[in-house]
Amino acid sequence: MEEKDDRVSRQLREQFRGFEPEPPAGSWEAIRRRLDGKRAPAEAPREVWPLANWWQPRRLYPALAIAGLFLITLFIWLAVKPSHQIKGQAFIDQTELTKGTAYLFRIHDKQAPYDSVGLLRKTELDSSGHFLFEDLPSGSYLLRIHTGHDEVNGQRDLHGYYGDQLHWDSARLLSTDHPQDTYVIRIPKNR
Amino acid sequence: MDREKDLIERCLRGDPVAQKELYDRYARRMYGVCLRFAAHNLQAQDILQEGFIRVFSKLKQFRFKSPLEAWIRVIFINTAITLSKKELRYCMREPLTAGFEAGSNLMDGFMKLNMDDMVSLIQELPAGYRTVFNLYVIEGYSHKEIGRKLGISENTSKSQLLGAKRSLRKKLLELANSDGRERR
Repeated sequence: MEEKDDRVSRQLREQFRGFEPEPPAGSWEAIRRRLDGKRAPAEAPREVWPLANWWQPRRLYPALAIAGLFLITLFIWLAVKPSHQIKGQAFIDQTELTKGTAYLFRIHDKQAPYDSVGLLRKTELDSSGHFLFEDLPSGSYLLRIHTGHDEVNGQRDLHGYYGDQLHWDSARLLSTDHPQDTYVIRIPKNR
Repeated sequence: MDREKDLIERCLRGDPVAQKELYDRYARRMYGVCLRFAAHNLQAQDILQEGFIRVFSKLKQFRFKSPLEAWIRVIFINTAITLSKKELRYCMREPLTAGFEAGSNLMDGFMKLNMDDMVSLIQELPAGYRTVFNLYVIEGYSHKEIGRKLGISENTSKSQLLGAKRSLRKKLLELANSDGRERR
């Protein structure tokens, strides 16, 4: 009887060894979640140095993406950065101005009326009539000089535009695309 | 063996790919064990999950002295026993009258069933009968080992096995009768 039981047990064992039913869907995900939950507190202290294992894809790729984004932004900023300058000297006839103000207007359309053009910058002339505007965005400009009053040097209140013109609509435009080393502007003394 | 060792080492490092690989390798076989030890499929799922959690947490204790599958199987059996401890304690208290005939044709009839029916019949057994039947008949444990594992005497183990066989015979007779009625 016992012998028979052993034989039957062996056969049953063999039969059940081949019994491999498919576990229900989602079993692994449930185990995974529990494993992750268990591991989380153990992993936390390992992050002693934030840059440890920086070469691992999960750290390296985001770092490379951020660096790339930074470089692209830098290039764009350098490309559009205002980097032009306009410098020149103002005269009354052949005499350097000793006093006065230079006004720079950014202009998009030469036909636009003067009062629609915004003043970009102004600067005082030095004692020999020099002026300088730096870090300008590229574009076209209108330059106006106001002489101011200087009794010592016989200067009266006069003004004029680049191109030695009295009126804005006949003035010449300055362009950063074709810059000159020095712009010379002469204001007629006798009007 | 080297591949198995490599897999275990990767699991120990917490590599999720390796853990999934180990799961894929043994999940089906272990789910078979779970189904036999459980009273129903939901309990089998619980044993499966708990068993794998224990496997991963105890993996560092594996010393390569036995095949990995045998080690994992023991963990699953122990998990199944632990999870049905309450039921087992209650069932083992029931005194059984020893000496009844289990029926010599019982196992032959049982083996003619398909696997799903066999598992269903085993699942229908009370926890004590089911556990001892699984351990003795299918897993090949001795009554002495079963006694140690479940904290019962050898005689209790024997009587639980006889009870399991008697119960199975009854169920098989019911099955045969219902089949006969259907044929008529």
